[in-house]
Amino acid sequence: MMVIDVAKDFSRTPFGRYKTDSQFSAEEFREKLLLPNINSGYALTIDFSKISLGVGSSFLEEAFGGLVREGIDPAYLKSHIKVVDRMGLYDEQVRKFIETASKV
Amino acid sequence: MTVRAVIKAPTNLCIYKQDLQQETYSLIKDIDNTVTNRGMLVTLDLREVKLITAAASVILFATVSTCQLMNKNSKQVICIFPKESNNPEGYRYIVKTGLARALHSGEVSKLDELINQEAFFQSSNNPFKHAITTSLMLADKTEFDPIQYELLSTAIGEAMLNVHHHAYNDPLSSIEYPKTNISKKLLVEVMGRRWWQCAWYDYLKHEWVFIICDLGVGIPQSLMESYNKLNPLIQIENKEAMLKALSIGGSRFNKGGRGNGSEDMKRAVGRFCQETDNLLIYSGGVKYQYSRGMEIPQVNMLATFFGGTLIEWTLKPKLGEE
Repeated sequence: MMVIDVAKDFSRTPFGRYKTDSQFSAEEFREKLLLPNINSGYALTIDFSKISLGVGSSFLEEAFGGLVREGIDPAYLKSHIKVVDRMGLYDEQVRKFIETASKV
Repeated sequence: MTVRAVIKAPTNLCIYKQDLQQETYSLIKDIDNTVTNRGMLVTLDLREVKLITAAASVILFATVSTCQLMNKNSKQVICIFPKESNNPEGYRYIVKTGLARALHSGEVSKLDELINQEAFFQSSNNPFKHAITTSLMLADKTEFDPIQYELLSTAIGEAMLNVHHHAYNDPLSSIEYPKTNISKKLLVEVMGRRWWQCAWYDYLKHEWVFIICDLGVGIPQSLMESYNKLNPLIQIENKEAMLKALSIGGSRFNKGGRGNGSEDMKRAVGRFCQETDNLLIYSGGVKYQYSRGMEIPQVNMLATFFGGTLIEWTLKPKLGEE
């Protein structure tokens, strides 16, 4: 199993959808950390629990729904990732975003 | 000698109550009209104001600040404030809250000082930078529990991003390649995609109020314009557009993955007090009210309104904690 500690490996303040929103955007996160690791075959835990600022739907949707739009198989994605945060909200949200992205 | 128009504010400024809305919006229009259409300097006399609610304060801040920034003159509108000796209520609402200082900021560097000094009234056009400073300020000044704080800071961050992505843009343009709405072009050129905000603590009710306000196109207008062009046979009107925009997946974009920010905004409401926690949105002539547990939020058309969007969260921290 691989773990991405978002605060340590990316930023304590991930924010926004596109690179034009911030230097720590979902687009950047997807390209820099998710895409290179997602096809490793290992289960991937993405841990947001040490970030300082809660991330919104736009970040989560772009990061994970964006993977589907990049061509990653949604079923593979759902079975290989687990998202962790302090509120216990993100994993369910992310699964919905993957589901929705797969229908478009 | 330059002549200044003197505009006297009414005693009560409030957009929540119908009987006070009219004169509150009249004042806003009067200031805007005198500066923008008549090209005059304004002295705004606030000495007799006894009550100004949080939402009215932010709309006044946005109006005065816009007049100053657009004319590159921090004295384009100057105010006379109530004195504690003869109007303690007005003094408390206007001077002690920091509204007076915000109204006299008048230029970007002074507005930035409000942020750096964690003033309750602030303005910005940079969502990333400002979401962080606002969250730090809320962490410093409020007594929310960690989850409630995180829910609110997430909601605020999404609201700021919405201003950046939607409020001033042509509804038919994409986020990736935004085009400014033609009617907002001058505003954006001079002020950027700006919003005004305030954090307000009501000691009597033990509630925090957080407000963010922009002078953009308005949520219903933005959604209607794109929806009605894409669906010429099924036209929608303001109320329906507002509900649609603030439901899951509701967005001016006819593709998936957008329009989830409204859920973040709602999620912040009702953690400790379902009865009094509230999300209130005034936009494009529609008032939207949501409390946790509501299946369908309450939506009403307004007879008078301001051009833009105001989002207000009223949240009670954990009961029994001061």
